Amino acid sequence: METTELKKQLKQQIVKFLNLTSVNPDEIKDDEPLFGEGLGLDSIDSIELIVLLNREYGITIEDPKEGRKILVDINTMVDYIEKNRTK
Amino acid sequence: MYITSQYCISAQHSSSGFNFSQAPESPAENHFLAIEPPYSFIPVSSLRRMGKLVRMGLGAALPLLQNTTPSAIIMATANAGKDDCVNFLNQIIEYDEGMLTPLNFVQSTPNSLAGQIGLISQNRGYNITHVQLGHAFENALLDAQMWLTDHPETQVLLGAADDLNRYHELYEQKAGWVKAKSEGENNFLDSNTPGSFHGEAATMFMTSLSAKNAILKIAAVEIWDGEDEKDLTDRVERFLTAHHKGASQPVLYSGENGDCRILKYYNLMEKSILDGAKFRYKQACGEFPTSTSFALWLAGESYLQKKWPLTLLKNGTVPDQMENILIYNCYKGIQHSLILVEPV
Amino acid sequence: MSRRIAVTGIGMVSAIGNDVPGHLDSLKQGRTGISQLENFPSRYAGKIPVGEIKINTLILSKELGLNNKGLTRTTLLAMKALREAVVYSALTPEIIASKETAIINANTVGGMCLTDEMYADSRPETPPSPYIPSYSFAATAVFFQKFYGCKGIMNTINTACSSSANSIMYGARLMRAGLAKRALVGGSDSMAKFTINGFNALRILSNAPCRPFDANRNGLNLGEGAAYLVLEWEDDAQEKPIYGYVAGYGNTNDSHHASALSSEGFGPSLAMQMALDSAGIPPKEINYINAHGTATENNDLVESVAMKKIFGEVPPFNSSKCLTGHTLGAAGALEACISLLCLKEQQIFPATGFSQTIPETGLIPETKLTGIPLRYIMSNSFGFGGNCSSLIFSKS
Repeated sequence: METTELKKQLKQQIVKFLNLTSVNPDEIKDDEPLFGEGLGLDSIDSIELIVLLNREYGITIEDPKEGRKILVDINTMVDYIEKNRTK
Repeated sequence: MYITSQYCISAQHSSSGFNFSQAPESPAENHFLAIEPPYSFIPVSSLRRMGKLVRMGLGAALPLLQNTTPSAIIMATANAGKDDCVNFLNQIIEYDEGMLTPLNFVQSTPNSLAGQIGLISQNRGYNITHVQLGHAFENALLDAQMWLTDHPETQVLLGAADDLNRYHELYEQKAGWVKAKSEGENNFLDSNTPGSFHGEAATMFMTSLSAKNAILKIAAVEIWDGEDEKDLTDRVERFLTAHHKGASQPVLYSGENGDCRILKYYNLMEKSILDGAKFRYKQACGEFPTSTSFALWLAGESYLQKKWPLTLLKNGTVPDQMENILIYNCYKGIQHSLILVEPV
Repeated sequence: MSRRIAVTGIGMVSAIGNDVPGHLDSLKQGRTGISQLENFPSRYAGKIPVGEIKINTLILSKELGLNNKGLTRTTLLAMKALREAVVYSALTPEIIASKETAIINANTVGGMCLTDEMYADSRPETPPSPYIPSYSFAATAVFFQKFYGCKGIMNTINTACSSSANSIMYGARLMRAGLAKRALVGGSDSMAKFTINGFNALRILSNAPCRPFDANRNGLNLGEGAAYLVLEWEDDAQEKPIYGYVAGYGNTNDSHHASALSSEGFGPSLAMQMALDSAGIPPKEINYINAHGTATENNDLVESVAMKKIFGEVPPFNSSKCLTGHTLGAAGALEACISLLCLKEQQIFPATGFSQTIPETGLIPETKLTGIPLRYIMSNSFGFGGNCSSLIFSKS
């Protein structure tokens, strides 16, 4: 899958998985921080995103702290998915 | 203890008060589903996490918290979390205890509502959730009274919420507490078969020891468990003798729910108040464990608008003036509650 | 508080003992009950350490003579502990049933421990099981009421991990308000697939025996158990052994996050201050704190910050959860009973798992059996939803 297409797909998956009903996936910027500022996600969301990576892309991240280094923004997530996906 | 403000989200358009001039909204199918208003006070970013019960509860609580900071948040619920619980169980089965998302689990604890109210209103006061089924709200009421007695210059947010979530209704139906639609077509309250039509509501009250701007006064509360009919009539007689100061009988807001197995208790209660007016509040809200909170809200609406809910009248002489109201409920034939309220 | 509320009976069951004497023995030895999960099949059996009670449910029901279908392990454990408490307090069935006796129960999971049955019943096509009434959070209290024919106030409180601490507080307040003459207060929770998977999903379970207040702690061990206390007015307890007095209590909300405490520890510190204020004593009167101490990264750091904020010089403290695991709805009451045993024995019991202090706070929990004068003990419980509770017990 092309990177741009994967980014689009991931944004849609994140909005659906985290039930971000007020967010339009197309309006999420690739380098917008997911946590704190930007999308404003929290610790429960970080765990949910780790589960999303597992269910959709077959990626297992054991340590949530390691996960936060990957879950910075769409760019870092897509980069990690492309290198590590098994699905 | 006095109620100074209140808000209810239920199967009626209760967020704008009770409509005394129109017949209540009928149940859809064999249950009463809440009519939810637009929620202007709940942050959109928080809404995404909320199940229906927390959403309704917050929707009813936040309007009362705009100008008041209570010293305590005291909630009652019985059904909270069942939907989230089963959704989490589904995950456990589907993914064979593998990697699961935690949100359902976190939301399945009944104290989610009280916790969210505290969180969103940034209230660090006393915070508690009572879950004793048909006595959950009454325990919350007693708790609020005790708290106010110890903190007399403050106010307490007291409330109850039960949602008719899919799994809870299924469990109730399997256990024989739900009446089929066909049995309740004219009025489920008169169908004389087992079970009832279930409902859902979130009702919140700001309470205080001060009568200033109060809607009503809670004069007395009594709860007990048991099936003894003589015990019921003895307790009601003692209760009214001790607490009801009016010349005539109080008006009854009865929790009669159409379940033929429990009708005997309501019949005994009606005999206790002779020809006083008897209104059946579950015609407006359906059956759920914390339904007496709706009855209390209805009593407050009656006093506020100075009207009796004639569309819910069963029989009896309707007084011209506002009188004391006795709320009686018997949850599943075991948990009995008496709440006496007075106009102010 | 003027008139004193005495604890005249306690009952306990957990991974470290089937009764109070069993607990006292394990506590003095610092003998942990943390082991591998055995009682039911799970992906986690043999993989995560838990504070499991090594009695299976069938044997427990036979021991209690309670074979009613639909009784959950949560209720059976509760019954076991309640019976012990009322025996110590010499309460007859008539007194238990009296309208002057309040019974205040607590649990977090309650009947949801019946994971498989609840799932089966949630399918419309399956016939109803006899367990449906047991799924309610109030099921144990409902059973107590039927069993004893109780005529007094019955209640169940659910504030996650602080639930049974709140039962104790509510029971004491009912007495002070004149709504009850005595109160049986406590809670129970049993091991369940539901909770194991829930806490695992939150990534706060440790894969090793937990290490409260240790720099390298990495999560909690779940436990199961039940504990009850009999509260009576001192005047009514003249002939009875008194384990201690309920001297003070506090309940606040941290208002920060559904499943994590604020880094400033607002909720915990306010709860502790409220308890001290209600006891009418300054912080320096507290001789020992039985901490919530779950060994999660968040709790132990925040609790340490809060203890330093309130006490300055923090009194001797430790957490019993390294021995019992986190017993959820039973934790507040179980640890209250442990605190009362400390008062009775005038000893702080050992704790395991600690070797290195948390760098941000430098606090060192008690690890050895220590005999010191104990007059006031504080017991803390903090839960999901920001519910923070603190209890203070005083020596008899």
